[in-house]
Amino acid sequence: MRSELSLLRRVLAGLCLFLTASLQAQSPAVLVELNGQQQGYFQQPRLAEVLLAASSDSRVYWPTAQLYKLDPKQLVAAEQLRGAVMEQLRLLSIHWQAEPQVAANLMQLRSQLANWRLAQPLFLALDPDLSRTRAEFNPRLDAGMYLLQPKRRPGFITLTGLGGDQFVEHKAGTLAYQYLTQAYGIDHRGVDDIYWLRAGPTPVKLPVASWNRNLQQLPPGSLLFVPVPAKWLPEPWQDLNQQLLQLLQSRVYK
Amino acid sequence: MKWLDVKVFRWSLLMLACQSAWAAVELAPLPVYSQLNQGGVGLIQMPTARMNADGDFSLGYRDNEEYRFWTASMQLFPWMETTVRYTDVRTRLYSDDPGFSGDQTFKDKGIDVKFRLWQESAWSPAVSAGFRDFGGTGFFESEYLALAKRWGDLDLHVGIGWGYLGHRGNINNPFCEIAERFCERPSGYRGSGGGFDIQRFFKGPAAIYGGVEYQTPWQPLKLQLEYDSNTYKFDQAGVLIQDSAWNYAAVYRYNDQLDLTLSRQRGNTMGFGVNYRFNFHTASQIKIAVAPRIVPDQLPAATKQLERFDLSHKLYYEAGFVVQKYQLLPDTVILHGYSLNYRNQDEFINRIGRVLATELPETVKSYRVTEVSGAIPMVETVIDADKFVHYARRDSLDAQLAPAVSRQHPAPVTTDWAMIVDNSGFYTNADLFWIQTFGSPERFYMYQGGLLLSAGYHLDSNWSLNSTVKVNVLTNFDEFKFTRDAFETGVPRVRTLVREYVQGNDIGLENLFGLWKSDLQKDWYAQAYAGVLETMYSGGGAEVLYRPVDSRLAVGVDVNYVGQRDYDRTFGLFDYRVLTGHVTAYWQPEFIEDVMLKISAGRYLAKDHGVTVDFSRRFDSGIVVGAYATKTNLSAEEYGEGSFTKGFYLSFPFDVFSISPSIGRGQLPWIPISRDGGQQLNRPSQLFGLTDVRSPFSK
Repeated sequence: MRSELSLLRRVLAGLCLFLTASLQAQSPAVLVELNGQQQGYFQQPRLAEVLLAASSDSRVYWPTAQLYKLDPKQLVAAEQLRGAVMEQLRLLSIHWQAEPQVAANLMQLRSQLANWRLAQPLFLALDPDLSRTRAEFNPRLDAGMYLLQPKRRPGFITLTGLGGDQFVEHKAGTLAYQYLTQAYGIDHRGVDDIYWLRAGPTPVKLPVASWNRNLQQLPPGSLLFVPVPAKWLPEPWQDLNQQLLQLLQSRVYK
Repeated sequence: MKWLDVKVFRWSLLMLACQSAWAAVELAPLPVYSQLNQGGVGLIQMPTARMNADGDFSLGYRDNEEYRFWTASMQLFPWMETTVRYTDVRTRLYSDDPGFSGDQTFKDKGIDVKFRLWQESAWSPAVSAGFRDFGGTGFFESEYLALAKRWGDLDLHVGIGWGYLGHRGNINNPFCEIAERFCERPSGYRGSGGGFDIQRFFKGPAAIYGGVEYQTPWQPLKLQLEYDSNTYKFDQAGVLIQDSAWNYAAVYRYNDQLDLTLSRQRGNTMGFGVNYRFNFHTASQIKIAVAPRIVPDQLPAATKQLERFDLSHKLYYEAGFVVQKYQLLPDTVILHGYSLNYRNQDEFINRIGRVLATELPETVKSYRVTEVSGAIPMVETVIDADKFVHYARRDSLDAQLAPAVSRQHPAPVTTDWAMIVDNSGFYTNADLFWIQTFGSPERFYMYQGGLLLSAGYHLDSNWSLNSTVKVNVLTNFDEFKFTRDAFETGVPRVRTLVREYVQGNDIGLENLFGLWKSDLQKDWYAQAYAGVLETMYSGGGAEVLYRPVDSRLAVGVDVNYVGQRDYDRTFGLFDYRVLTGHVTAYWQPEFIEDVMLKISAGRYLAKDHGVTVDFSRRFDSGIVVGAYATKTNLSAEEYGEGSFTKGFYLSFPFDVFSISPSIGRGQLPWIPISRDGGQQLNRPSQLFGLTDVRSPFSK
C-alpha cells in the first residue's frame, strides 16, 4: 500500500512538472502593453514587429512615442529612488518650516512624486519605417514586459517642477525661456537653467535667465523640468535636482 | 533635526548612493561671439571677457583706411583663446629700399592669448585676462583685464588695458599704486625679440574701456558700441586722428559660419570685415561609402567553401582592409593587412567583423585581425565571433561592440599561411606638396607647389631602397631677391640657407636612402637608414622605440651623423658634418584628455644642446592643433631674431573635408621665424609615425 501511494505521488509530481513545463512553454517571451491591451510574443520580437502593432493609426506622432521596460528589478530600483527622494523632500520641508510657503511647495512636489508611474525608459529611435529598413535601429527585445506609448502630435510643451505639471501651447519661433515665463504656477525667479528631457538618455541643460539665456527653440511635446531653486537647497540637499531629474527620466507620461 | 530624522536622512542618502549613476547632462550650445578687428572675441577695437565654445575656429579679414588684418583665432580650451594675426600697415612701405621690397606695404605678425579667470553667474561677471601681440615687434602689445555681464539682450563690457590699450591713460595704473616699477613701461625687447617680454606686462599708463553689444529683435543682427581706450597717437600707421572715442558697428550673421561687419571707428573712419567660423569638434563631411553589411539570422553553414580571394576583395571593398596574409583554422581566422579607409577604429572593426561573420563558417569563433605598418605587424584585434554577431544583429537591447573586441600585441603565427602577398618588389607613388611663406619682403605670399614622385624597391619586409624626386610645378620663389640674410651670429647656417635649396632647379632629389626596420621584440621597434635623407642633409642614422599597445607613454632614441647637402640637391656635400640625436618621450597624460606632450632632449643640427617641448590637442573631429618650442644652450643673441625656435601646426584628417572615407592626414605648419638654433634633422622615416596604430592619438 505504501509503495502504491509512493508511486501515485511520483506520478502526480511528474504530471505537475509536465503541466508546469507546458504552461511555461506557452507563456509569451515578451508582453507589450499598448493602449491598455496586452500583446504577447512567443519568440522575442524585433522592434519593427512591436511598432507595427501601433502603426496602423496614421495619427501617431512617432517623435513623442515612448517605450518602457517594466522590469521588476529596475522598478524596484526606481521605487527605492522615489522613496529616498520623497524622504529628502520631507526632511527639506522640515528644514524650511520657518518659511511655510517653501515648505508647502516642497511637500506639494513630494505628493506629486508619489503619484508618478515609474518604468525603465528605453531610449530607442521609435520609427516604424526606420526600424523596418535599417537593421541597426531594429534590435531584438529582451524577454519581459514592456509598455509602448504611441501619442498623437501634442500642441503643447510640458513644464514640470515645483508647480506641478503645466502645459503651455507650443508656438513656432518661441524660445525655451519664453515658455517658462508663460507657465502659471511655476516660480521661475532665480532659475538660471532648466532641463529639457528629450527622447534620449541625456537631458539638455538650457540656460533661461536674463544673464545666460540662449536662443533654443523646442519641438512640440517637449518636456521641461524646472529645478528646485538652488537657494532652497542647503549643503546636504544640493544633489536633489539631479535625483529628481533621474526620477523624471523613469516617469511614464500619459 | 531629531535623531530619528538624522538616521532616516542618512539612510535615504545611502539609498541614493546605491542607485545607478546620476543622469548625465548635455549642455545647450553656447552663443557665438563676434570677433574684434585684430582677431579674438571682442567688440570693434576692444577685447572682451567672452569666450567662444571649445574648438571654435575663426578666420577673419578686417579692412580700414590704415590697416588690413588677417586673423585666425581658436578656442584651444574652454578657458583659453589663441589668435595669430598678420597686419598690413597700409600707410608704410615694407622698407625704404624699393630694390629690396618694391612697393609692398609693411607687414607684421602677432600672437595673442586670452585666459578665462571666472565664469559668469547670476550675480558675478565673466572675467578674463589677455595678452596681445606679446614678443616680437609688439605693434599692438597690450595686456588687459576684462569683465562681461549680460542682461537680457544687452551684453555689457568693461575692461582695463595697458600698453596699446592703455594709451588714453584715463586712470592711474592700479599696480603703480602697489609698486613703483609698474609706473613706467620699458621700451624695446629682451634678447632678439620673439620672447615673452614679461618685464613690460601691466606697466605704464592704463586706461578703462567699455562697451555694449545689443542683440536686436532680428536674430541675425547685433549692434555694438564701445568706448576706446586708445588715442592712436603712437600707432605704427602714424598719428591717427581721433574725432571720437566712441566706435560703433553692426554685425550681420549671414549663417552659422559667416559674419559680416561694418564699423565706424574714431569718429572718422569706416571699416568692414568678414569672419568665417567652424568648430574643430564638430567639423565633418557627409560620406559616400558602402553600407555596412547586414548580418542575417542564418549564418553560413560550416561546410561553406571559402573563396579566399573573394573574401580579400570583399574586405577591401567593404572595410577598406588590404589583406596581405591569411590563414583559416577550424575555429579561428587570422588576417594580416592594413587599413585604407576608416580611421575610426570601431567602424573599421565593425565592417571587418560583418564581412567575416557572413562569409566564414559558423564554426569559426575568433577573428584575429592584425594591422601591419611598413610590413611589421603592429596590433592585433581579436574579435569574439559569437559576441560580435550578437552585437551586429542587435540580438538584445544592450548589445555593444566593446565586449566583443580586444587589442593586443600581435600573437605569433605558427601555422603556414594559406595566402601571402610577397612584400618584395618595386613600388611607385605620387604626392602633391605645397610650401608657403607669409610676409616675405618680395611678396607677402610666396609659394611653391608640385609633385613628389617616389619610387623604390622592397627587398623583403625589413629592407628597402627608397627615393623621392621633387618636381616644382607652380612657384614664385624665383622672385627671391636674396638667398642669404644678413644676420651673421656665428651659429652654423644649418637651416637659414633654405632659399638656396628651394629655388633654382625645378627638379631635385629630395631623398634616396636605404632603410632597415624591424620589431626587435614585444613593444620594441628599430630602424636604420643611410643615404640622402632630406632636402638639406645626407648621412645615416638609427632609431629605437618602445611603444606598448594602447599605452599613454612611448620612448624613443635616435642618433644620426649627417653632412650638409650641396644647393643643387644632387649628391654633393659641403664640409659641414654633425652628430645629432635625441631622446624623446611621447606622453598622453591621464589628467588632461586628448592632449599629447612630446619632450625631446639632445643635440641639434647646429651642435647646440637643448630640449624641445611639443604640445598638441586633438578635437573630436580628429583635427590636431599643436605648438612647439626649443630652447638650447645658444643665447638669444646667438640665436638671432626670435630668440628661440618655436612653431605651430594644424594636422587635419582628409576625410573631414572629403566625401569618401580616408585615413590620410595633412599638416599646415606655421613657423613665425626660423633660424639655425634648435633645428632637428627631418628624418625620412620615423618610428612613432610608423607605429601609430598601436596607440593612435590623431584618430
